[in-house]
Amino acid sequence: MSEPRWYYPDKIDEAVELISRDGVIPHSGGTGILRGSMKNVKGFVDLSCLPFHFHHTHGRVVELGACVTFSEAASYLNSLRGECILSKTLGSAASTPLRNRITLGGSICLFPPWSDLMGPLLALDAEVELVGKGCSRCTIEEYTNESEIRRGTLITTVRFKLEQWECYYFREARTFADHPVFTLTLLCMRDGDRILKFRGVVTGCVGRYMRLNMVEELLVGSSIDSIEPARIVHGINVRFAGKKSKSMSPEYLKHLVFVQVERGLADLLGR
Amino acid sequence: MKGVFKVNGRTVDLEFHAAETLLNVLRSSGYTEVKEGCAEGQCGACVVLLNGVLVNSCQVLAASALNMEIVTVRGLGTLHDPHPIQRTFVETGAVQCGFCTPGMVLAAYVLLQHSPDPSEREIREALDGNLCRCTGYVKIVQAVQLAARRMREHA
Repeated sequence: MSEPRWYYPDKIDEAVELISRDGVIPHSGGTGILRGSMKNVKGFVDLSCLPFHFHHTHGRVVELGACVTFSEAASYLNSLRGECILSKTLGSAASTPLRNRITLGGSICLFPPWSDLMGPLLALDAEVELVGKGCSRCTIEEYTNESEIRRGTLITTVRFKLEQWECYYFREARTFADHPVFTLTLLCMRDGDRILKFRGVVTGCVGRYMRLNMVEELLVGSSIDSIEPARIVHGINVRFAGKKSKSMSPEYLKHLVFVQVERGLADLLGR
Repeated sequence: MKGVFKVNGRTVDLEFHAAETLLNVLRSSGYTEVKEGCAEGQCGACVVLLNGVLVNSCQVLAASALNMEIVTVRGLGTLHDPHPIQRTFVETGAVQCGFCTPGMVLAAYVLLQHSPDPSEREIREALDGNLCRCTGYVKIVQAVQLAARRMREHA
């Protein structure tokens, strides 16, 4: 293997130019890079000297820099008034030394199937700010689904609204330190006995993630007493790949999603 | 490539492959107290402090740690002048095969710097990235509790 080159740019334009070169990839925490093959990597662009390491809140909008680690994000979100699902999920993802290294930008960019970040970000309708060719801001869904947006761009900022959601999060893992086979995020906002807003996301399924739009449509505007979680869940058309797990068939995983959505709804509806 | 590292307070010039992990660079430079376990970031045998932050050195590319302060377990204390955490690990029987001990000691050190009087739950959470296949963790938790008490008394 020929030796890749390291670049340490301190200007964003320089970094953007470097990643446009063939085989040159951005490096933030490096944990994702080490999990993949480095056979074709010709260069690493270290992002640590760029201004991507910040966190602040403007009104109700939280902005986190792409080089913020899971530990730093969880700690910052914990310090804010009001509960944010990301403070819980990022604070318990992987293990302490890994959380100290995994960055938001890298996780969004690579979207590993075991990510405890993407489900909550998708449910929160987060946005990312980008530099490089193409658009400068897009939703996390657009970024995930459109490879053209990802090509030749660097994420600088992750942005989402801090709202009073009631949250339910589940990760299907054998032990707490294990990678989850799938994650489930449910967010609910109530006004008295009516559901004002609802969002649900499953990650780890076919297509990387699935928004529970059908559940959302059924729940929004409904009175809590009229909702029957057990009925709703069987309409969820989530699919898992055949070789997802040696010990868990796609049918079994789908059933687990049904069970967890039912439990999550019961929890959020105060049953 | 060549680079300057600051390991346990000393500046060292090292030559290494650009895609090499910090773990490999440290071990091949004589810092064998940094253990190689799973090499996947799961076991915590290889943890070091990088600018004061606990990281798995197997999950860090060495070139991204240039000029940073690296502390291995040897940077905390010596055989003749051990750190209180190292001492209590021995006294409580928290060391069996010893392979996980450098990582455990460093994780405990970071915890006690931020939380001098941790609960058992906080200790277990702080050690969540360090696996031990011998002791069952009871003695390790006791060692951290004892070290915390002694460090508070001598603070």
